[in-house]
Amino acid sequence: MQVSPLVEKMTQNRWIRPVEGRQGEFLKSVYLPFTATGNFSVAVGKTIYFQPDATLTSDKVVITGIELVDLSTNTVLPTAQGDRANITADIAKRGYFVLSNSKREIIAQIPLACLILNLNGGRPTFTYFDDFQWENCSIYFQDITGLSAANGAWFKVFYNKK
Amino acid sequence: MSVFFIVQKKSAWRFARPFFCYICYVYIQQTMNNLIIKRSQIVEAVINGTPATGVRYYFTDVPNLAANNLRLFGLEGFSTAQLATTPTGYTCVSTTTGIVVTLRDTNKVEFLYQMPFYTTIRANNYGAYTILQPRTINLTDCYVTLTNTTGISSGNSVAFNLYYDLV
Repeated sequence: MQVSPLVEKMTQNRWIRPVEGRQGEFLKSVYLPFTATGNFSVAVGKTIYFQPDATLTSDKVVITGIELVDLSTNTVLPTAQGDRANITADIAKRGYFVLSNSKREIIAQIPLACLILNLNGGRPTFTYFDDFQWENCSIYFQDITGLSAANGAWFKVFYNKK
Repeated sequence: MSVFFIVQKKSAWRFARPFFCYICYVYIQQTMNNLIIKRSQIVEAVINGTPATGVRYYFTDVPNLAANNLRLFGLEGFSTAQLATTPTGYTCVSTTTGIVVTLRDTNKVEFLYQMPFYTTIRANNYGAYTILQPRTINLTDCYVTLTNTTGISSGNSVAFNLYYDLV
């Protein structure tokens, strides 16, 4: 099959890839259980950082896809701090995922609703994040109506080893 | 040849049409590409004053996007179904059918002219992003225009995520 030079160039630069491609070789579920007080409590505009992760470091892996599991995909979020309810699609419309590097430069800012598979025709969100600092990555909400310590956020992070 | 033979027979075509469409669908699925996010920046054009048709509402400047080595290769629009409020606090537009977007590059060329806002929303395209030929843009020259003001209020924001890379 003939491929146009533009498609070839964009594929080589890792700007596009076939939709049927898998997101990554490996998958890690990252949980963010919210709490009533402290670093993981929810407030308007408050940045909730991810915990440092020994696997998700940019010297070892490239993040090739991210997905948010919402309430209609899976109701319960099982964490070491106890079960939480996953956030709904309606709450996700009011939140952002922020990816930063070691200099705290914001590489990407993506609305949470855009990471939910069932809201986007089942098409995964492909990424190519090879310069990031996971503990500098965060989420925040512009409106916390309906959000409490009973909720949590479940991210499926797809990655390839370098 | 066999497909054209079936087409000639009307009754047979009624039977064959679903299979033919399915084969086309599978072929498109196999050859279609989707965007990879490498870097992104949320940008917005705020509807200042009473919404009016034909008026150009320019994008708010984002210094990050002024780099000469920046290549924009995709975008995604947001209505309230995807995003309630932009990072700067403006409410996103709730209607998607009365807005068109125009992007201009650093040579003032309108390389994307009056594209319907509806089309840029990923959820309206079965999860497919709008992919562009990579270009350096001049964001403050880019604008949105309203073709219908119904459902749009002053202070609403037409927001997009621009996907780019530094080369």
